[in-house]
Amino acid sequence: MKTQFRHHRGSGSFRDLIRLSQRIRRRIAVGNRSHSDRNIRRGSGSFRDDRRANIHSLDNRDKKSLPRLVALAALTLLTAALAGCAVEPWVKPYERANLADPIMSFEREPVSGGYLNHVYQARESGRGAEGGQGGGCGCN
Amino acid sequence: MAVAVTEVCSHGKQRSLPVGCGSEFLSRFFARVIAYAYSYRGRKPLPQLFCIALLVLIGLRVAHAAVLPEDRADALYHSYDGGGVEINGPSILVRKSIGKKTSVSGNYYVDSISSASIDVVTTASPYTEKREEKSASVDYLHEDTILSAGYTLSDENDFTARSVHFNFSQQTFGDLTTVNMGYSRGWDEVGTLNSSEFDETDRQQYRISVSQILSKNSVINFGWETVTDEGEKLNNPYRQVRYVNVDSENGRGYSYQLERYPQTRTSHAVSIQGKYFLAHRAALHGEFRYFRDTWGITAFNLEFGYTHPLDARWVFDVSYRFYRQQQADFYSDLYPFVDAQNYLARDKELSTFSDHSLGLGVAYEFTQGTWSWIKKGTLNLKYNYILFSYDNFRDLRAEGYAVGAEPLYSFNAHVVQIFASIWY
Repeated sequence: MKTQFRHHRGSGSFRDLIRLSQRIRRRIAVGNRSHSDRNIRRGSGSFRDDRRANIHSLDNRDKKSLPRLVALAALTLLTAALAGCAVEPWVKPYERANLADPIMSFEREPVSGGYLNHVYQARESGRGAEGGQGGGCGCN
Repeated sequence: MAVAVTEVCSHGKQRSLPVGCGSEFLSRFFARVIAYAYSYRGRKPLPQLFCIALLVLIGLRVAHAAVLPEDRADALYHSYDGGGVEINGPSILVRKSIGKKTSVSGNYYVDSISSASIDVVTTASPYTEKREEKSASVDYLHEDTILSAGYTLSDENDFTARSVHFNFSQQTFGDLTTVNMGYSRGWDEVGTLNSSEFDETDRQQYRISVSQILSKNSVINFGWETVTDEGEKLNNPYRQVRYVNVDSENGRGYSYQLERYPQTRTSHAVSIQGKYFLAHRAALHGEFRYFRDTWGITAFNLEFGYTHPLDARWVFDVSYRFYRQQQADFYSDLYPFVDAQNYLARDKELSTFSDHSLGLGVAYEFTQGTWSWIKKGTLNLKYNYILFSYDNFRDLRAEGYAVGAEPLYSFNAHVVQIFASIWY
């Protein structure tokens, strides 16, 4: 069966999503800036104290930035993935014959796989994440 | 499947839903989540936000089309022989659809154990026992989502384990990605034959896995699982540790006392598996898993395999698996004196060791013959040879050695599975 996938560039497209997120991000940034400006006007500390505090917060931000970036990248990717339809599948359903072959299943024989996992679990401390749950081809 | 994808993206029916793919609402919601995450300055824990977003997105997602597992039945006879232990018995697994949206399965599994393992030979007497395990589960399909729930009961003379399981599976990205999330809760009752008292253990498991199609010929799976145990007796109540005692009754320079474990244990495991389809209709697979827990054990295993069909009826499998682990912090083969530390363990499964496993398998497929209700069936034979080598667990059967200088223990095991499967 030949099938056409469509690109969606309307209101639900990924590009719109990014544009919207940037707009909201700018709005949040403006909000934060005006908040700190108010503190300076109130005279909460000397200029040197403010500069030290800024340098300190920058250092902390740098230290935290890598795991945060990884988490944000994962979040963005998952959000995009789950939003779904705007991204064209790079493997078409009619191209999944090889993936649908039973020899490509992670759990071809559930009764045997379950037993062998049990054999290892009883003699090794390692447990969990044995895999074999589901598959990606959706063709079973 | 292809039609379903197009329909989801283009049909007015899907768009009219408040959570449809093209809806303004969903776009704004995603945008706000991304924007909030980018402006994050430690006000709220990000993992919490991450989990909430993930759950909401998965919960709201509209569907393409997933499929329930196939109707099939498997009857297996298993046999394990190694290290003085023989275990064998049947396992019957049956799965059947009820209507188009529900599938139920049941499993009956038996271990008939005859044990004269090194622990038993050195500190107790050989024994035989039987363990029965019964489990049932139900899967419910709703568009692109499969919800599963199950119950398992395992019973032997001094041990009973009950557990419930919940699983959630979602296909997305034009069915290129499958996300699985699961939770299990278990209650174990551990007793001793000489006592009517039982100790209870509470176990919880959290798991998530993502399968991703990479190309027309390859698929990959990432898995993560956390398991927590809490109970007064996480150890085998009969197992003992040894300590140096020059005045020992056995005249060998050491005596025994019972093991003592911490009352909690939490472990984390991450894994990656991949499959690749070769041009001459064969498949390669690989797996790597890393494990660590709060007892100080770290472990990994690595596996490679090759599947080769021959004609339309035969399928041959060969695989190799390597496992390596580092000991628990409180493990010792020989303690310097009695009650040497708070926690004591001499379980060889908590020691530093490695094992190698070589697997061979052959399957023969037959199509429906005299029984018209059978679509197809397979007859299967699988054999695994496993070699365990311990780095700090000594063989106390050896005589004529100084205390702590006995040879290191190792053993090999033969695992045989014979089973038949039918699809109907």
